[in-house]
Amino acid sequence: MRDGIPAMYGIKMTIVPTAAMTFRILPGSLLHIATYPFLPPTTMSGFVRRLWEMERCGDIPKTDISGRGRNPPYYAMPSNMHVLGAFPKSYHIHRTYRQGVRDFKYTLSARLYRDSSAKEVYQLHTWEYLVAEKLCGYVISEDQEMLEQLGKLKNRGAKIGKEGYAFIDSVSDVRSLKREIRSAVPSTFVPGETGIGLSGDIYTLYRYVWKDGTAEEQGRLFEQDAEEGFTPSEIDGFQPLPAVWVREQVEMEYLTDGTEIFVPVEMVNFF
Amino acid sequence: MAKITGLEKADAPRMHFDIYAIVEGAQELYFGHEVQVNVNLVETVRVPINGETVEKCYLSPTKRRGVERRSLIWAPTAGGQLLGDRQGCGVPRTCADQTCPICSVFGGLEAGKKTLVGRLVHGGGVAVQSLPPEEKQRAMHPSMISKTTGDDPTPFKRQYDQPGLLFPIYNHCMSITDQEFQAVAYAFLDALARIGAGNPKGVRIDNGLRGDEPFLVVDRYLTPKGQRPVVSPSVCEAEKARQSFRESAFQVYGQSGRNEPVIEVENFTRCSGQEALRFLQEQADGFVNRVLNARS
Repeated sequence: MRDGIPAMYGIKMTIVPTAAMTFRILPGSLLHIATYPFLPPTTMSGFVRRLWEMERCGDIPKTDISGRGRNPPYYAMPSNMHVLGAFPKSYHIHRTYRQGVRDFKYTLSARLYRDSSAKEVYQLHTWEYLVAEKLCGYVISEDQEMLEQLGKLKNRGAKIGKEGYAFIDSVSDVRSLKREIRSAVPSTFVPGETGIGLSGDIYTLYRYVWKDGTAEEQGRLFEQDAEEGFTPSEIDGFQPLPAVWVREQVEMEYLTDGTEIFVPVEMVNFF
Repeated sequence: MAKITGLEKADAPRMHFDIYAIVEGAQELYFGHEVQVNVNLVETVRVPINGETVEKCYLSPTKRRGVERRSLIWAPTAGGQLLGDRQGCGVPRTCADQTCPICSVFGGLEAGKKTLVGRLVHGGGVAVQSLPPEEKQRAMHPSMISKTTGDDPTPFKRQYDQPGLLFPIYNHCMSITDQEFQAVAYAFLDALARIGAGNPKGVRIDNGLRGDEPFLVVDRYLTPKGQRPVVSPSVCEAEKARQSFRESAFQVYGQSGRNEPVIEVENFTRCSGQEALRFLQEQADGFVNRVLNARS
């Protein structure tokens, strides 16, 4: 945990999905695919990074597991860009059934002819999709210029989460954020211990564990030209933490622009 | 810090493509949801609209994706084989080869060994009108001409999406070559007649009230300068959906008031209506000539 937080700036990003989305809740069952009812911070970080790469060089990083054991590189926004997730005002979780794969060695779904000797069978999953018209996302940083660059991503879209596609409908101007104790509806969920005792839904979320000394180098992401390759993020893994999604007025310390953005101060320490 | 380059550098430039369409169920359709005892239900989705929840029929984009992928796997080739057999590529066992016309766009996975990121994403599928599904009684009639006792038809109940439902659907392609897009165009057009579980199948591209205005937009771009003709799931009237689609289709930044079928600006080209259909058909034709009819 850091002592004291320097001057912060923030932007609000409106993300519009063109499909139902699945942000898989982990840990979970293999047969029931559940979704968070919002876009988690780390997923949003990867999404924004993908859009950034499409803006920079027109291509997206590939998810290559060959030659690296089972550890494909992560591509996220730099650690000094606090990507806080995106939240719908109204939504519905669509829970349905899908006949999925039992074994990747089968060719079950491609068969025109199946006889009774074939032992290939489907695996029934229940699957949840998040149906929402738009999501309000937030990115906070000390670096005002880097935040301004994110305005270039307006109207860009990419695949998001396990299923679905979304595009950035609007990016607000960069707002200066002040620390204030007041009563407001939090714009994001309330992370960690600060959430204890508040009324809302509790989720287990995951934050990146960054390797030491990477923030400065990561900033160079914004200075790369179109010819350079993709720079993986120096992420060691993930750490779980609880979070409460509170949707009523609550008094606590926020980073706020006074009107639209109310981010619980602790978010900057975790994401 | 290690730098990792992307894919093998393609011979051709990589562009982003989007297909936006409104399709109409030409007859009743069945997209299954859950199976109760003797009643087959269609998939519906609940959409929050102005504080209420409205139930609408749903053409799941993931189901449509499967139909499109299989259109490619089962595409007939000049050698008499189906494309999937010729490539050694099926589902779920894909070949995950960068040169496979299917996997290079849909993505592939060889569990534990290879992954190829998918570049084609499917969207949309929430019906416009909130017409509820109709439940009908059907029976499985045995085929004997002369029936004896014991040859009784087996009745069952099944729900169907009503004919005339409009479904906005979208295909989004991230960073593919023009050649790779040919497979996308082929699969999109081919799948339209195959959509639906069991029988009847088939949707058609909505042609509007006058029957001469295909609701279809195709974008090819590096910079997304066009307003995306995405119909909100909260729209419940057919004409409102068509109007919102039409208006967005002609909004390209820096070019207001141009209701032209082809709008071309720097780094962005949009075709609408008949032009978009013609473009897709040309690309599908290219796929047939270059891939399916190739002798190799």
